[in-house]
Amino acid sequence: MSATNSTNGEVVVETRNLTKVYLDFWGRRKKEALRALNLQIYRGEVFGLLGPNGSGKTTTIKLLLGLLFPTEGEALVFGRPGTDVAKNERIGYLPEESYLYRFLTAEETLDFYGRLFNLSPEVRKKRAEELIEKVGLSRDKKRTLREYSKGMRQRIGLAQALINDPELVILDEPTSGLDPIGTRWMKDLILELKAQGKTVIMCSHRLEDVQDVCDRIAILYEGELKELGRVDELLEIAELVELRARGVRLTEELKRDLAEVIRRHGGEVESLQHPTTTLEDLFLRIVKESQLHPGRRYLPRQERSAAAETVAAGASNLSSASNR
Amino acid sequence: MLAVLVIETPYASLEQLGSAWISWLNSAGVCALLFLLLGEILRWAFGRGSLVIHGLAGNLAQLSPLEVWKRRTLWLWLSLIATGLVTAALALVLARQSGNTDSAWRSVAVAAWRVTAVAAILAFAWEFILELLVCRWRRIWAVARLVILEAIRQKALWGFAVLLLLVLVGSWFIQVEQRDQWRTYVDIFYRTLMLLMVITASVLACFGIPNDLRRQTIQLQVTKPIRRLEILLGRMIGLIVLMTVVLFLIGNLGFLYVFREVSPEARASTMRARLYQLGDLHFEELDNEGRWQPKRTGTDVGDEFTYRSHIRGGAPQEAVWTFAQLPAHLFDKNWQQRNRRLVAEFMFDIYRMTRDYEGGGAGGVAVLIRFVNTRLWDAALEAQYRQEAQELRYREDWEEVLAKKYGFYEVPLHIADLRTYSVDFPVAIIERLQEGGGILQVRVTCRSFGQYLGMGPNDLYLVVGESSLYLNFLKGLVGIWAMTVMVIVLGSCFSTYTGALASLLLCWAIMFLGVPPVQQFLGQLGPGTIHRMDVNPGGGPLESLYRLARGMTMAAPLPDHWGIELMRQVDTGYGYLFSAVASIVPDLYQYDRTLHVSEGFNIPGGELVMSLILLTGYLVPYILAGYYLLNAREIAA
Repeated sequence: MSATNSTNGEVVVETRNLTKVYLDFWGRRKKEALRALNLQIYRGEVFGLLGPNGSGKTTTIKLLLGLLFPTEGEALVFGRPGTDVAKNERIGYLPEESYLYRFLTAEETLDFYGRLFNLSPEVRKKRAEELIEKVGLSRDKKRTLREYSKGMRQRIGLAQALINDPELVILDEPTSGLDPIGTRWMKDLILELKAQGKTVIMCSHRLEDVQDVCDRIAILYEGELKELGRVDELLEIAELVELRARGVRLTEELKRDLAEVIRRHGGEVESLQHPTTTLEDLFLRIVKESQLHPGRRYLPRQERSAAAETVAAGASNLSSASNR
Repeated sequence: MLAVLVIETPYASLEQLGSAWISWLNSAGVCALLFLLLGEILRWAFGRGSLVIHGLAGNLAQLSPLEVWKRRTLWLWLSLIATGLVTAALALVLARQSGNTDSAWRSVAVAAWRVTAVAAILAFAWEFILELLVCRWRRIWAVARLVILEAIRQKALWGFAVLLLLVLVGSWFIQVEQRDQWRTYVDIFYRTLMLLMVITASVLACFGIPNDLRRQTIQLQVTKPIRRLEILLGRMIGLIVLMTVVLFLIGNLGFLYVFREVSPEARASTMRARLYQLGDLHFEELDNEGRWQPKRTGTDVGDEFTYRSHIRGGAPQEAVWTFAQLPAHLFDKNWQQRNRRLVAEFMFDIYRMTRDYEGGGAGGVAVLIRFVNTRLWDAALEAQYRQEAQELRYREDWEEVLAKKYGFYEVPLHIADLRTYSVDFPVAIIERLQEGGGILQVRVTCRSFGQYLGMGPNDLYLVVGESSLYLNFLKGLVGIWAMTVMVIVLGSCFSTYTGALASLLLCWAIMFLGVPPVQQFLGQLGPGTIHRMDVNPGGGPLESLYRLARGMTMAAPLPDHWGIELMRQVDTGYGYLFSAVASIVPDLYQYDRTLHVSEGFNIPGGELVMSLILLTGYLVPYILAGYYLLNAREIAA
């Protein structure tokens, strides 16, 4: 059964100490692809999974979908394990590469996957027509996928991911290989899915795309979770204020006062907030820190602050002791 | 003229269903036990936990409160296995101690083993059965359709068509006598089709899943709510449907092709589907007291081909075919009104001790064939019969009259070596057989001094009707269909875990082990024959090793020692194990019906049904294995 977080809603995906170790033929550990991953994804959010190549993003996705078996821990989707077939009724998956049958036409492709969901012929036909229309392939629906471009295959791939009107949509590099227009279209579609109340998990290298659409992100590096949180919070630079006022916090009172001041001066406050850096900067900073400090793992913000205070207190005591 | 059906090993018939079931149960039970043990070891080795908790495929780990019965039922099967094995072992020990081979303990041991076997099969197949019950035909058919479309659009069958065409066109240039045309062209067509179907089907089956894995197209399938069993069944059914349609189309074209190739003059005599009735052959020899003594075999003339046994010319020796069962329609009055004569066909071997020229006229070998209704005929009546025959010879129906009265009819003739002859006899001979107390016998004597006449069980038969040639041709194709289904299932199941080429090699290896000469060799290593010097000189593996180590010859007697006895018992156990494992190799002989069709014999429907039942028995373990292997596989690894 899905758990509920009082602030964030129903948990749709949960990993508990999820670990994946690839073994060689003799059963020896070859590669630790994922190491004790703990995260939760809530209903209705767009969740980004970031990381360099080999960080464990796709492994995580595959564990959730039952394409791989965990070495330790659990991967739960809608409260069911990743290997449970029944949970797939509510999932749509767009892989990174087009793993579609090239000898089928677009119509036949959607018909085939619709049959796998046990949809009746009438429902299949109707959905296929709607989705082909939606992804803009109406003119090419009778051509085999062998004749499609990369972008077209990506779109039919997305269509098959939505054939069952899923509650959870998993997209692996959805904008890969798309031109700026296609990218924009994909991002708009993701936001549309979110507006429909669907949960979207997105793996991507294109950080600007993730920044545009994701609510929360997780950053993986060498199989470990390095950062997790809301995009706007992670990108926020708390010690700077847009007004470049130093030594002051942007409180509501200050906002009101500032707003009042601006209003008294005839203006209108558009926004008063702390400035943000880019996701790319954050990402690179995390990777650099991980390279400098291997073994450092993700800590929630509260624990991180407490740890920093402890370290600071300890340093201060040492300093006092040495002075005496 | 058509030849006879030289069948050294009879085809399985429906009457043998009971014994076949017991044999299958024993073999499948042993294999199931082995696989359960192997599965448990592998589950622990890969850290997946015991099958007792998780099930062999791991599907019993996460069960809802309503589903806990699934795991408990598995525990029931496992408990029955343990109980059965212990009971069987104890009963065997007690049976040995009693020293009585027919003791009740033996029966208990057998019954306990059968319970163990059934429980082992159920335990092994349990998750498969549970999954099969929830499979959806729509999903299975979706995959099947995909497979068919793929084969057609990837032009996989073009190579098959081209090769078939080449062979058939090439056969136009074969010069064949009229009497051999039907036989030759049927043989060419059937053998070519058999080979091409098996090769094509095996390639399609062995490359299907591995290609899907290589291209990763199966990943999208597995992320949908389709069970792995549905994928496996869909693949197999798709290929079976495709190859069935191909076989039917090509079969019909083949029939037209062969029909066209046979000259009109030869059609009547060669293009036939005779309904035949075989008898039981034994030999009889007159002893010193004037009594006919039955024997299983006749005189051994030293011929390597032991199918036939011989009777000596001019000696009181006879070959006797007994027809205990005759088709019911022969006793129908209307049928008898229309068919006053029954036909017997035969082909004998002549083993000459003196030179003589072969052929008709003054040459050949003199043979006397007698048709006897044992209810009516007595040798003491012979003098009376001959006198009455003289008196009635002016009548047109004298033969029927005498046959009806005495239940006797004889035909003297000269025959040549290995040619098929046909003799008819009055149907009146069998008229009163239905009342019981008698059977029809056909007794053959060689009357040429110094010659030997050789005959095998199927060398003489009654022709009791004629079946449809076209239907018989199609029935012959059923054997090819069965072999095609076999390779499809084998290939699909092997390829769930191994690569395409490895699957292909395994598939062909299994099929090779199923050809008759290899099957014969495998049969020599069973528990009943492993210690027989004439069949398996040198004994079993441990005994052979012992003899090698001690430098003993194969025939040298072994010392009388408890260790030797133990060694032989272990070898016997090996024989049982080997026999069980070797039984997973299908016996291809049961599916090759080319001889029936080419020689113009009807293929009995019962035998065909039995061969399909045997096919199911062979293939079910492979399908189970394929299911578990596919479940254990990480699709994206």
